[in-house]
Amino acid sequence: MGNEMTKLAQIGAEQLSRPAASVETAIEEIQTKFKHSAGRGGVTAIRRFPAREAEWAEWPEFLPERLVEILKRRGFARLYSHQAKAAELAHAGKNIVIVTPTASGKTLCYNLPVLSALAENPEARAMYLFPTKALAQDQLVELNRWADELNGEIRTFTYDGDTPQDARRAIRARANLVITNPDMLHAGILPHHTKWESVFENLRYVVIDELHTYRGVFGSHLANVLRRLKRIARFYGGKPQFLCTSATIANPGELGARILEEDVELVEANGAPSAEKYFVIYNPPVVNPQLGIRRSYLNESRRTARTFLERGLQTLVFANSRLATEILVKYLKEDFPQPPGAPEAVRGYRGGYLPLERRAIERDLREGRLRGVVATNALELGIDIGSLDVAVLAGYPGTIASTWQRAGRAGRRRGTSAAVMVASSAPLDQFMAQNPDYFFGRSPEHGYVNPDNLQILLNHLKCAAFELPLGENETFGSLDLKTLCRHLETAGFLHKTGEAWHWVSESYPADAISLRSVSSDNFVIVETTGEPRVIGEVDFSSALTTVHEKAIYIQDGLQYHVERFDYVGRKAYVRACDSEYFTDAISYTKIKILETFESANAGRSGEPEDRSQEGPIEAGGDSLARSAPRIATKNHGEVQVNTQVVGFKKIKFHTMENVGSGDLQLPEQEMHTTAYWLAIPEAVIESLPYGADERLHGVRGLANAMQAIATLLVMCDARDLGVAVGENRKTEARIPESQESGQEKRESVQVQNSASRTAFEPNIYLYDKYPGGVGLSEPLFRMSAELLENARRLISGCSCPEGCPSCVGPAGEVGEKGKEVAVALLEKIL
Amino acid sequence: MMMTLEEKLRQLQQAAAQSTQERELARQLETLSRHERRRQKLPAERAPFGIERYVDGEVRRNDWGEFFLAQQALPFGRPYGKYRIGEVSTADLSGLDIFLAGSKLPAVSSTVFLDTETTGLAGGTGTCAFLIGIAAAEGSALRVRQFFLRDFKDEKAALGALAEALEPYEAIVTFNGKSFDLPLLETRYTLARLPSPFRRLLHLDLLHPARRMWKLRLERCELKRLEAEILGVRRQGDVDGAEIPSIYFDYLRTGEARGLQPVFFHNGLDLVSLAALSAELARVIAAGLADEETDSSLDLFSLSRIFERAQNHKAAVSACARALRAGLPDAVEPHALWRLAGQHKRQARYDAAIEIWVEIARRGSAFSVEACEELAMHFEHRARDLAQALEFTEVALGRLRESAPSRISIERVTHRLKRLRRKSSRAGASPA
Repeated sequence: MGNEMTKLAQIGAEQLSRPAASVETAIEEIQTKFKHSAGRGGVTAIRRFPAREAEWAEWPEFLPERLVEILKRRGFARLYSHQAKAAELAHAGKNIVIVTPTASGKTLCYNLPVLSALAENPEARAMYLFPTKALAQDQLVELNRWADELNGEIRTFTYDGDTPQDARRAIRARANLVITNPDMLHAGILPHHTKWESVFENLRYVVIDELHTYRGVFGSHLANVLRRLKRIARFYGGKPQFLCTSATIANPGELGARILEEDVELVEANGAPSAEKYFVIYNPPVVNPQLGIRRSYLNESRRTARTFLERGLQTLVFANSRLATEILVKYLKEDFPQPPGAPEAVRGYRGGYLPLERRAIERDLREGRLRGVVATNALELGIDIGSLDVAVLAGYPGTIASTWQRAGRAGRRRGTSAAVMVASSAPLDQFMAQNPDYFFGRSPEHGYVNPDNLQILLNHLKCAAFELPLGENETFGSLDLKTLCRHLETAGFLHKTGEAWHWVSESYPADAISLRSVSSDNFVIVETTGEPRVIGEVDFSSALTTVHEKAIYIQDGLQYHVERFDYVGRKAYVRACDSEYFTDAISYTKIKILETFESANAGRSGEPEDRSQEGPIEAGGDSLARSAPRIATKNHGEVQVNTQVVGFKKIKFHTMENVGSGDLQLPEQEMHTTAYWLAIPEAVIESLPYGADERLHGVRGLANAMQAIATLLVMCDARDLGVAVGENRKTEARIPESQESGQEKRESVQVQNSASRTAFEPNIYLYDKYPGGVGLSEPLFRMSAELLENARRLISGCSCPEGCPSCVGPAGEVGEKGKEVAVALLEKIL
Repeated sequence: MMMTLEEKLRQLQQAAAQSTQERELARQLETLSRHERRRQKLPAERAPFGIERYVDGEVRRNDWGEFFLAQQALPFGRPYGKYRIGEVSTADLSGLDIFLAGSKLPAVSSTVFLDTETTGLAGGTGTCAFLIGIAAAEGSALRVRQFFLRDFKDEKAALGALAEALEPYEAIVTFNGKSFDLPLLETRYTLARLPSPFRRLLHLDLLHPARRMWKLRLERCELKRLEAEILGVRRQGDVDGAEIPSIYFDYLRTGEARGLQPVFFHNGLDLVSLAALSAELARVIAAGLADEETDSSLDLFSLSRIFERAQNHKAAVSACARALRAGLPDAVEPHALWRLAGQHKRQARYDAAIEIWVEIARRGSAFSVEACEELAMHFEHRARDLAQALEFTEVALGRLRESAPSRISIERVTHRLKRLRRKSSRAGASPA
C-alpha cells in the first residue's frame, strides 16, 4: 500500500513504453498459432475479468488524527471498505482473519490498528510474523516510512537469523514493533523470553501475514508455537490479539481458529478496484494419441513466455519444482542470449539461492531491469516485486488457491494483464484444462492443520518446558498433558518437582526442531570443480531424490553431476557438467496398517447393510468367499510407511525420452503416519472379467487418479500426500523380501505383481507424508464418495484410448486395459 | 480399537529409534549408559541420602521458601599452590582497574567472587544455576558460601538469599561471567519475578584480562590451566565439568546426593582460584607499572600490550623495551619490535621508530612490508625524500610479490608507487 504513490507515478511511463494492446495480441497469437493441426488441444478457456470499481468507507473515528493526515498526504482520500472494517473489528478487540487478493491494500488492514495502538500508548508492543525473511524485509521498508513520518513513535526492527548479535540487545530494548518469522520466534525469542520481558508484558497485537501458508505440517507447528507464545505472554501478564491475512481458501476462518485456538472474525468483502485481466488455460496438443502424449508443457510454457517477452512484457513464469524451474531458465536463456558480460535477461528464483542473490533479483524486477523470471512458489507470496504484465503458470500449481495467488502476480491496479496456465500431462492439469468451468467455479481448497500431531506436540512441549515449568493443571492442546509429561519424564527430559515438570536436559530443544520439514537436517551442496564452495542446500526429503550419487543437480540453469553423496555427513559433492539429460529418482514404498480408526462401505450410501443387497457381485463361489468381505470399504487410521530410493532414470532434455537408468543403495526411511485407504475385497476383484495383470493395472491406474483428485479435495501439494498400492493380506511371507540391493528390491515388487495371479485383495493408500500425519486422512475418509466420483469423471472424461499420464498413468505403466479396468472397478465400488 | 495415548507414545518412541534419528539415539544411549555406570557405584537397596550427609551446611528458610547453604571459612594461613590464602584475600586489586575503562575496583573487602554450576551450557530460560558460589575476604579468612537447590522449588529462596548476601559488596569478579553466569542469573531472577542484584554491582570478567596477560605463554587460558600454570595448584579428585549437569539430573531423579560432593568441591576451588588469580594478575600489573622485573619476557610483552591498550604509553614502551632486552622467541620478536616502533611514532620519536622499522625491513621478517610502508610514508610526508620513499615502496612490493605474509594488499602498495612516481617526475627528480 505504501508504495501506492510511487506505483501511480510509474504507471504513466510504463504504458508509454509498451503498446497497450500487446497483451491482447500475444494472447491472440497463442490462440491461433499454438494449435496443432492434428491433435486436440490449444486454448481451452479465456476468461476476461472486467475492471472493478472500488468500494469506499469513511475514516474510522478512533484513528489518531496524525495517522489520517499522513495517509491523506500520501493520496488516500478514504479507505477501502474492507480496510475500515478490519480496523474497526481490531479496535473492538477481536481476532481477525482478512481475506483479500494480492494488491488490495491488505497491509493497511493490520497496520492501521497496530500503528494507532503504538502511537497512542508508548508502552504498547506489536510483533509481526512473516513466513519468509524476504516478506519481512519488504514490510520493514514500508514500516520505516511510517516510522519517519510518525516522529519516533514507531520503532521497528527485524529480528531474524540475519540480525547481527551486537544489534540484538538494542532491538529488544528499543523496538515497539518487532518483525520476525515463526522460526525465529520458536528458536530465538521464546527460549530467551526473559530478555523480551517488556515486549511480552505489553504485547498488544500479533500480526500473522499469509496465514494460508500455515497449513499441514508448517501450520501444525505454528499452532504450537502460538500456544507457547500465549503461555509466555500470560506469564508476564500480557494477552495479545491476533490480526491475520490470508489468500483466498475455502475455510480461512476455520484455519485461523484452529491455528490461534481463539474465536476469530472474518473480513472477506474486498473493496479494492482492479483493472481488466485475462485468464487463459492452454492445453498443449496431443502428438501421440495412442499413448496420450502431449507436447511437453515445459516447451510450451517456454513458447508462451517467449511470446510475451518478445513484446517487452515483464513476465513471471511459475514452475512447480526446482527442476522444472531450472529447465525453464535454461531454455529461456537460450531464447534470449545476452552478449558476454551483460546482465541476463531471464533469471531463476527459488529457495536454494543465497539471500543476497534473491534480494538483487527482487530489486531488478521491481525496477524493471529484469524482464523475465522463472520462479518456484518462493515468489508466490506477497513479496513486493512491482506490477508485472504477465504470469505464466507452467503446470497447474496443485491447488486452486495457489493458482489464483500466482495469477495475481500479474497486474496490480491499472493496465490490462494476463495469466496463462499451461497444463502439463499430470491428471489434475488435464482435469482442469478439460473442465475449465469446474476450475473457475470451484471454491479454493481447505487448509487443514493438526496441532495435536503427537510428534509435533511432544517437540513443542519440550520447548514449552524449557521456557517455563509445565504446571500440572495447565492445558497445552487437547491431549492429556500429565500423560505426555510423564512420558517425557521417563525419556529423561523432564523432572517433576511439586506441581510442575521442569526441563532437565543439557540440550536446547528448539534447535533440534525445524518448523518446515520432516527432518531438520539439510544437505549442503559442495561444488568441487575448483576450490570447494557451498552453492546451496537441499532439505532432507528432497535430498534423497535430487542429489543422490550420479544425479544431475541443476541450479540457476547450470548443471552439476553429483560425484559423492555423504549421507552421514549430510553433504553432496558436485562438479559442474554439461549433460544432455537430467535424472529422476525411482522409489519404492511398502505400507503396513497399524490401526484402523474408522471403516465404512465405500459406496455412495456409506452403510454396509444397504450395499450388500444391491451389489451384483458375482462371488468367487466357494464357502470362504461368503464369509469374506464382499464390499469395498473406505478406511482411515495409522500406518507404517517404508520408502526407499532404489534407482533413477536418465531423461533427455527437450525430447524427454528415457536414455538410461542406474541403481542406488540409500537407507530405507520409515515413518508412522495416518492414511486413508480403499480396501477392495477379493470378491470385487474376482468379479472383474479381466486377467490378473490387467486387474492389477486397473488398481494402479485407479490409485493414480485418486491421488490426483485427493490433492484437489484437501488443500495440499501432491508432495504432501503419498500414494501406494498394497495388499490386504496378513501373510506377507509370500512376497520375497530382500535386504540387499535396490535392484533386488525392485525385482521383488515385480514378483509381487506376478504373484497376484492367485487371490489378490488390494488396498489403495493415500497417506500423509509426515510422521504422525497432519490431518489429511480424516477429511479424505469423509469425502471418499466425492473422491471416487471425481476419479471416475477424470478417467472417463479423458480422451485417450487406453490410459495416459493424464488419467490413470501411461499405458506403458498400467498396461493396455488399465483405464478400462479402473472404470469397471469404480462401477463395482460405487 | 483406539490406542491409548500411552500406547501411541510408546509406538512413537519405537519409530524414532528406527528412523533417521539414529545419531540422536546413539547419543542418548551413551548418556544413559553413563548414568547407569554411575548408578551402579551406589550401594544398592538403601534409602538415598540428601545433601546434608555429604556437604557441611544447613537448610535456610526465608520469605520465599527453603534452600541449602554450605559455608566455609578458609583461614588465611592455608597454602594454595605457590601462595597462601591470606595473600590472596588481602591483596591490592587496584592493578585490575586497568581493565575497567575508567572505573575503579573498591577495597578487596567490598569485592565478591562468583561462580555457578548449571544444568547445561545452552543458555536460555531452560538452563538453571543449581549451585551458586560466592567468596569474599572476611576477617582473617576467605569466606565461601554456596547456595544450592535441593530441587527446583528452592530456586526463589536461594536467589532471594543470594541477593541479600550480595548487598554489602560493590564489585563482583567472575570468569566468563559477562557472557555466561550473569546473563543466566539475570534470567533466573526474571523468571522468579525478583529484582536482579547485579545491575548495581561493578563487574569485572577476568576471562579476557587473563587471556591478554597469559595467552602468549599458555595458548589456552581456561581457568583450570591458569590455575595449574600460574598458581601452581594441582587439583585432586576433581570432577569433569562436562559431567556436572548429568550428576545433578541423577541426583534429582534418585535423591542420592553423594555424586554432588565433588561438585561443591569443584565450585569451591574455582572460587578460590578466581580470587587468587585476580590477586596474581593485579600484582603482575602493578609490578609492571613499577618497572619491576618479571619472570618471563613474554609476560613483559603482554604487559606492554595491556598498557598500550589502556593508553599508558610510557609504561607500554618501557615494558616492551625490557621484553626485547630480555629476549623474545623468534615468532614473537618482530611483533614486539613493530609495536614498539608504533609507540615511538605515536609519541613523535621518529628517529627511534625509523631505527626499528629499518631493522624489521632489513630482517625481512613478519611486519617487514608494514615497516616498509611506514618508512615510505615517513619519507614521503615528513622527511619529503621521494627517492627514499620510492625505494621502500619498491621493497614492499617485492616482498609482497614473494608472497610475504601481510595484511597490506598489493593494490595499495602499487597505488602508492604510482603516486610517488608521478610526484617525483613532476618534481623533476629522477627516481633512479
